Amino acid sequence: MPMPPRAEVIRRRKLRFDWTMLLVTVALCGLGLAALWSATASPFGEGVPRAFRMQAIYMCMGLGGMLVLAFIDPRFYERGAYVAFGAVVAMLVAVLVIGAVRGGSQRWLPLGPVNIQPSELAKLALVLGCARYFAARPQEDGWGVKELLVPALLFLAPLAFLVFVEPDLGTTLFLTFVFVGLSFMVGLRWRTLAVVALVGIIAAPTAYFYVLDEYQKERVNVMLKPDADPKGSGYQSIQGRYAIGSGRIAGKGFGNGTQGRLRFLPEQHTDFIFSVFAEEQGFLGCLGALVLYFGQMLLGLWVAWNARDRFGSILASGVVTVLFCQVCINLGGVLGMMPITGVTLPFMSYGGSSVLTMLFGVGLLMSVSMRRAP
Amino acid sequence: MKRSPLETLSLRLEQRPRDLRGRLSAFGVILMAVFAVLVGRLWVLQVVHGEEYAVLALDNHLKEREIPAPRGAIYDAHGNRIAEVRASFDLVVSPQDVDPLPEPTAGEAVAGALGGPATDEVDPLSTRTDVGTLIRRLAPLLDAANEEELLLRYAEAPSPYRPAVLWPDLSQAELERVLAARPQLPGVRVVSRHRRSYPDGPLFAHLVGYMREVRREDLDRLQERYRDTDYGEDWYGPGDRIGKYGLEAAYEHRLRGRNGAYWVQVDVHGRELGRSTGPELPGDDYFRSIAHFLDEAVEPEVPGNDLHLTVRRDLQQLAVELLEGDSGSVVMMEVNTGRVLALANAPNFDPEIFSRPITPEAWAALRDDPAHPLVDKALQGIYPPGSTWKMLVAAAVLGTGTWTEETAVTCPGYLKVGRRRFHCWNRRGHGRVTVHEAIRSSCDVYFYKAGIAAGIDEVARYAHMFGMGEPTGIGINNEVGALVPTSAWKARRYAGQRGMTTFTAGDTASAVIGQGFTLATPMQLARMSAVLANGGTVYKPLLVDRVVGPDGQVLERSEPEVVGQVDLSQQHFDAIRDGMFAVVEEVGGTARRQRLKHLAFAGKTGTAQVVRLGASNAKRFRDHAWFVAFAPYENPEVAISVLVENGEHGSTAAAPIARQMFEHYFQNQLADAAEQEVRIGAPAKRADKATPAPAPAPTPAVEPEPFVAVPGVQPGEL
Repeated sequence: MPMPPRAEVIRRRKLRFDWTMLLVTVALCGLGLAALWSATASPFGEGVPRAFRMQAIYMCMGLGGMLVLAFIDPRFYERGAYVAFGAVVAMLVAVLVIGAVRGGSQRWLPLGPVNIQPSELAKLALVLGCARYFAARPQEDGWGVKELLVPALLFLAPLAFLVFVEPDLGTTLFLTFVFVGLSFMVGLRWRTLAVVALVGIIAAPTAYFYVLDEYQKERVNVMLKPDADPKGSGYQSIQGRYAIGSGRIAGKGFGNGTQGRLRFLPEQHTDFIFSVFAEEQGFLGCLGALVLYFGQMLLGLWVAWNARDRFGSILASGVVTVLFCQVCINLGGVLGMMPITGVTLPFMSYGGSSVLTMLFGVGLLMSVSMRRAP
Repeated sequence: MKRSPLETLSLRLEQRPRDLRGRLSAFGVILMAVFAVLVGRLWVLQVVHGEEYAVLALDNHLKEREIPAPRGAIYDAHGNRIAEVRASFDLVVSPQDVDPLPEPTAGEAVAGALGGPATDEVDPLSTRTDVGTLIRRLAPLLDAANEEELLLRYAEAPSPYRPAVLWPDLSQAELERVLAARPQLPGVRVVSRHRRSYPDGPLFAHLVGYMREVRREDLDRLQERYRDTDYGEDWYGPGDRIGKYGLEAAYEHRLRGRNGAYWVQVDVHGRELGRSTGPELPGDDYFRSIAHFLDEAVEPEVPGNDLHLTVRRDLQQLAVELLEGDSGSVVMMEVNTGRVLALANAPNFDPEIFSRPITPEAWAALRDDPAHPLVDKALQGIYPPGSTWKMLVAAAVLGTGTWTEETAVTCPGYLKVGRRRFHCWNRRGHGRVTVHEAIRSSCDVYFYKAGIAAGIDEVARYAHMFGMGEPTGIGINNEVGALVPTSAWKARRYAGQRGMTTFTAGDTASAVIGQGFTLATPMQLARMSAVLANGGTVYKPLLVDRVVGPDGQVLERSEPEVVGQVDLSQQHFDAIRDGMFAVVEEVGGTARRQRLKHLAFAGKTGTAQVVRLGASNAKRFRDHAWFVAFAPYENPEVAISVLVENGEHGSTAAAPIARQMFEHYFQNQLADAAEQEVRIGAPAKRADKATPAPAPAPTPAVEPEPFVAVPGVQPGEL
């Protein structure tokens, strides 16, 4: 790395640490840990559950990593974007070769004592790669399908393909959404957007009948008619709803959620963690959590608004897009407005890769934020 | 290409992504919109429908568990417990603890088709096994179980976490076998429950009755019936037992307690974490912390009420012993209250055989026994009453004024009615008889004539006054009314059959000696005897003296209930009673051999033909033997009817039983009377005759002491 020019040395003294973002993120992590405790602690009182301990460790690691990332200049990321992208692609390939298989999918890369999920990192890799690509190519009249073909093939296609063959359809779709979101942020033409949306609407039923597996169709059906099979496919959705609904306005209080603590909710510590939270904290607590989530995203947009350069702005809005998609898809499923997918809730769902990825993403945001334009 | 810092800065400022701001604003708007949608959805779930979901979530983890209430006990008049509750041991298995039936493999299917047994290859010491294997191992350990039945019971398990009762009420031997085989029976448990037990076995079989598991189809009806009552719809549940016969059935709602309930908190696997019973139980801290269901109070169980009967165990026991080997019935009751002292049938059965699954063979043996052990002969048996009916005919002929006490009839040994000759039992004839001698010697001819003179409908009217022809109202076992024939009845019965509708003189002749159409139950005849004894008051027979709540409070005490009064003068009653006294006392009396030295009693024998002109000597064609009686003669206390099916002669088969019952009932007074050389209940003139006048005594020892009931321990009044 060459010596930084003088001007930058001066500017580095004027770093403005984004305390608000840190506070919001730590608060969300705190809520997540509380919910995870309720979701995993044994009602018989048998000590600290392993998942909780692991999650706390991941969060500490993630917050530490986030701070480190925050203090690194975004231009470093700009330069290293393609390298990072390549590294993640390499990891995804490695997963297919030596990855651990769980539940029929090959998603985990054994890394010493822990397994990491490169498909989570792929979300940030996509954002980094695209940010650098788009930042260097301002388009006066916006992006059309033809222009998007190249970045799509360069960045989306390798990641999406590698994730798809794991197989992990959820993350594949997720990456696609993020890519579309990113193109929207850099000026996807409204007409093109309309075309994409139309294709999506037409593709959805087609995909339902010809592409989706039985279990995936079932999830769609459950979303449409959750009470059709309350003991079978609808069980998850219904029990989740009992948990959320029974929280009512004020919630049952921390540690007192019966649905969660007595294990009536499957997947309660991962995808359905919000149900546990909602049961114990009630509507007011949920409102608070949503204010934090969307506050964080708006802060992220403010960072993008004030970013020093195009790369920073696109990077920030890309991270916000990732957070937004995570929150929307997870809560949409949990609240019964969308099919249930395996998308985690940032900072709350149990899972090292997810926690680290999201916190690293916030670290990128903070990095851009600290070097705001004057 | 080297830039100056200023250049760099200006370049940077130029690069500021103002062109992206439009999209950033748009994204911000989208964020707000999505936020609003999510908050709205949460509002709907948590605030609008929160109440409903709270209830549904509660249903998930709070389960009501029953505290079984013990059924009330039944005591005899002296406080002996004749029905109680004991612990029984049921064999249960929870579906969660065993594997389902394996799909039959091709080999097994072939083996099954060939009739060969599938081999039992499962390791006998494995911790889990499938239900088929389990049942195959269990069946030989149980006395009357077959595999299909056990499988059916297993299939009735209400949920994977609630056990199915595979076999209720293990016998001692079965329990021992099952416990010893436990290593081979993973998942099988033995639980203890309340069960009815009858310490006296068959002694009170028909009277106390028995219980059985409530049938599915009855359950709906019961739930319907109690839906709007204090007991509530769930007073009966599947697997509950219900009184099916005897007092158990008639007093079911009194005997049955109300189950209590407590709440348990369960997790998704059905494991209990706590219960709303007491703070000392494990898991309770958590239970307290997690929600507010300690508000769900424990509902204590309410034990059933106890019944205290009027029936005396000693008399019942004696009656059953006296009937031993015969088929018949003994009914003994107090003449001035209607309280029943003994209500015994022979043969009988052990009511406990119904507390567990009964084998088809045992059931068939009971059902097809020619002596009908399952029938309550005293209340449901309808028999020709034979000569015991004659008192009613006497009452009719005297009461209507047709004849008087002095009216005499000559008995040549038969009476010709139309072309048919009706014989007196004594073919040589009784000569000149009035009502006194006619009853004493049971002269058929006198009563043929009396019946025809009074008319069958008048006889029937008096019979009805004595409570014949209708149930006595004792209240158990669907007591029957038997039959008092009238001309109207016959016209109705044979309507449309030419020449059959008139009640002929021949019909009357048969009917008035307790044959032909006339039918009665032992209970009815016992009460008739009581009515004769007390001079015309018809009491409803009482079985239950009082119903006592679990706290010892008397909830219901039965008082003597007069249900009728016989319209007959005391003079006529005396004449009839005098005749009955002569049966036992006088030369020519049909039961003179039963005379007691220190107790004067009155009675009447009866011998009822089973088959008209029965020519066979086979026992089942022999006559039924009857004896009705009351004692003492003066100031009577108790009345009795004794029936011995196919006993041939009332005087030899039935009367001794009545005499021994009296001897037992009066044993204390008889001992005193023997000491004082007096005769209990003897009329003054006869007492003189029977016992020589005692030497002028300082105390009027002639007068018997006032009769008091045999003192006994009164339970519930301690």
